[in-house]
Amino acid sequence: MKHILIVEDELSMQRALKNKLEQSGYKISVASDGAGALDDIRSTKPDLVLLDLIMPKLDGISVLREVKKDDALRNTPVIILTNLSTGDKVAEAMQLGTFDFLVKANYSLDDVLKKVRERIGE
Amino acid sequence: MRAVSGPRRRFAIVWLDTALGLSLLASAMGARLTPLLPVGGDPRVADAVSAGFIAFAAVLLGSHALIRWPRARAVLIWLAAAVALIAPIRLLRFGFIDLILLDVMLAASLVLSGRYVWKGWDVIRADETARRSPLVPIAGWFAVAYGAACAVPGLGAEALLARFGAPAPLVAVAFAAVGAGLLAETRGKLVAWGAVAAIASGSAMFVVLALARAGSGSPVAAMTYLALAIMLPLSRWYPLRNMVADDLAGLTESQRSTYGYERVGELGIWLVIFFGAFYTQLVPPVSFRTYFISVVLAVVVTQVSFRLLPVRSIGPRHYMWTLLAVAVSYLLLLAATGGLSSPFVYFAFVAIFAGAVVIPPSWLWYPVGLIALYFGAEIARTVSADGPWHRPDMLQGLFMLSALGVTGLYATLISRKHAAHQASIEAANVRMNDLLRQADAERARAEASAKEQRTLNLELLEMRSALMNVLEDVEETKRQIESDFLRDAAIFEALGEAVAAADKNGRIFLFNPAAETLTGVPRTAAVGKPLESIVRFFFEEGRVLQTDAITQAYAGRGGRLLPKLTIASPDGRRTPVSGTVAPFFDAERRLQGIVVAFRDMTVERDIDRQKSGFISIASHQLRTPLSSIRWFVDLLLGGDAGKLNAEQQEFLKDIYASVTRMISLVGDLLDVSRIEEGRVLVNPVPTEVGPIVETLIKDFAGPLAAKKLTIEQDVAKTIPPAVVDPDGLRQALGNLVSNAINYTPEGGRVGIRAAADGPAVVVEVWDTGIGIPESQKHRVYERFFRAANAVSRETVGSGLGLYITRLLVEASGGTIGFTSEEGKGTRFTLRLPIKKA
Repeated sequence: MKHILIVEDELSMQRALKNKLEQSGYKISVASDGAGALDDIRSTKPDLVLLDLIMPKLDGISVLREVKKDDALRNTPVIILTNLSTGDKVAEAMQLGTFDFLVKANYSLDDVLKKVRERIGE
Repeated sequence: MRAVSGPRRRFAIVWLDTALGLSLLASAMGARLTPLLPVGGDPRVADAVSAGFIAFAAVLLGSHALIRWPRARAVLIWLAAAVALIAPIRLLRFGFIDLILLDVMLAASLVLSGRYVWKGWDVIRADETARRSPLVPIAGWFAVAYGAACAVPGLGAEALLARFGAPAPLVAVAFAAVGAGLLAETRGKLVAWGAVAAIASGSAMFVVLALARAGSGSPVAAMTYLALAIMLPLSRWYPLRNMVADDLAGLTESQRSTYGYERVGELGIWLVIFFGAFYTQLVPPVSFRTYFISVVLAVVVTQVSFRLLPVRSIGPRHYMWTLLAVAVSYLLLLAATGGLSSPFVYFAFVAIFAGAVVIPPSWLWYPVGLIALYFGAEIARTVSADGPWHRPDMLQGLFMLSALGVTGLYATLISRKHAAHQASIEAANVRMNDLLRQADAERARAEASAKEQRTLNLELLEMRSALMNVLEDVEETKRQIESDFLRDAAIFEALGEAVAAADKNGRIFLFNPAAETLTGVPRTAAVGKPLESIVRFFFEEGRVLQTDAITQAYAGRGGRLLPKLTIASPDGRRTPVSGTVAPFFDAERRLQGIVVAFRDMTVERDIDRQKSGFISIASHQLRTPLSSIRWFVDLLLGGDAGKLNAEQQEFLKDIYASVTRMISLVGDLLDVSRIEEGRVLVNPVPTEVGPIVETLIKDFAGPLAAKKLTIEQDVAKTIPPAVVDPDGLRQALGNLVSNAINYTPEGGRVGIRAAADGPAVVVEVWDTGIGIPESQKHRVYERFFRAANAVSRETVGSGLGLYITRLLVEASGGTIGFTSEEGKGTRFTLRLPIKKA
């Protein structure tokens, strides 16, 4: 079972995602802030990280940067799920290597699930 | 005293002279009325002589009336002379030899005066101011002759003496004096006073004679003598007056004041001399030798005295000295001779003295004259000592004649000398006048040149003051320019905008303090360096900008710098700037260089960032609950919370629809807001269109299926990469496909085509939908615009989709166009450039 780490500070959204993905057969762990997320990534080494950007303590981009710095974690797939407009952080994220960048509001849960499957499979 | 002139004077002179002539004639006749001749007084002789005289006088008188006919006048005069001569020739038959002498003398006088007659009448006629009467010389010579005749004993002098009680010599002298005076008058002014004196003494003598005649019982003769005595001075009045006037005219003021004294003195001396001569008749005679020596002594004394005298000019003192010398000489003579018996000695003395007085330097003539006198006397004595011609009185007469001759000679000499003197004075005057004229001319020239100089000076002064004015103006202008320049420089320094100007070669020559601050390079380091090494522009991402704007400026085109530029300082600091580049030209429109002006945009960028931050946050904040709602509805609809009944499903679907609509709206609004603020970073890069299209179709598979629409894909195998922003393209194409799906009814078709077409990549999205009404085609790209048929069909739609699409396509460097037919379908065509524009 693939392990997905959901990094999202909105609890409701956390729950919705978790619900959907668990239903689809993934193991889900959650983090509500950037710092916790990093720790979790380091410790649990998930197969995929769904990363929100606007978070307390440490924002998503910083988490991403840290991840990319870390040789061990660098290759961890990351999908950025944010409600920020497309253009704002794309450049930064692109620089750091990710190329999946979803505006949550524009995607249904099924769409999200599809993206996940594309990325890491079942 | 002024000279008398004019026709009145002319006739006055003439008639006075006539009267004189008459008197002279009458007195001559009177002298002859009593027979004097030894023959016993043949009345025929007297008649003949008298007739001759009368004829002469008549001619003289009558000639006055003949002023207008000078030739006739002259002829008559000569006729009269001939008549006068005939009488004596007749008398020769009677043997009156002595009478012949008289007539000869008369004739001689006529001859001599004929010249004057000839000339004189013409002169009087022609010249209004003629001062001399022609009768004067005639009368003069006649008087002289008669006087001489009286002096010669054989002619009746003794008889005269016996008759009148007056010595014949007296009469002789009287006449001689008169004659000499009249003659001298014609010869020149210098002896004129002597002439005056002579005439005065002659007049006095005639008065004496008249008295004697009256006493001797001849009243007529006495009256004639008296008439002569009166007429003599009277007739000389005008000439004398003119002479004085002429004298005075030539004198200076100071000389005029002494003129009267001089003349009176002169006259007095002459009178004394003449009367002294007469008085000495009472003194017995002395030997000639004694006389001669006395005369010589007298001359020597006078000459020496004149040489020793300090007096140089003729004046009263001069004459006093003369008188003194005369007195001394007289005393010497008396002492030497024991007295004088003959007046002729004095006459000679007077003549010599006159010469001495008048022409002191010419004392040469004295010894010559005296020697002539001596030899003449000796000859006469020798001749007359023993023989038929011996006449003691003749000697006297000869002496007298000699004396007269000498007088005349002196008079001539004097007048000639005077004339020469006058001539030399005249010449000197002329020369002086010439010199004065020259001096005047020189002075005038000097004045003229001085005037010119003054004018030049004035001009120079004017020019100088004009120049000063010009200089002042120039100074003023210079000051103005300087102050303007300083002011402009101050403005430049104070500008908040950074300004850097480079010349034709790209070297900085202007760099203001704001530029120093922004670039971090001090002016001294910047000036002279190439512009692009000091003013370094970068994109925000850090790539060095190839300053197209600057290159364009050097090509002559100005413009704005790209937005979102930063400028780098040597210490690595980056400052956001915005600005302009512009070329500048000289008067002939030749490029001189470029000027770059830019300003610190940090504040604006921060504001922008805040705004973008706000928008990000706003979008985030808006979307978060919306996405939350959406997902939960998703879950509910997916049955994760339990099975739903149909109604629940319907409600949830409605909720879902509203939420998705709202999400879409929020997304559009945010897009528009970002695009309008220029925050959409469009980065055209070579992009493979094919994969984008394929992904797009995949993404829309669901909606397509939901509406049972067929999708037709027509993507060429090899499409060159289009230079376009990939995200922008994705979004644009997404909008178009979404529209196509939305506005095509169920069962319709939607298609995408992508292919290369010349210099562009063409991407088309077409459908068989409702189309766009003709009347509203021009409005489809407007913000919030939805065509009427679209609205009636589907109320959902923000109207922003095409607006955003077009912005994105054009920002990428592409073009968008469409064709549509209402009810049939719509085809949107995008042309994307292959190469960078």
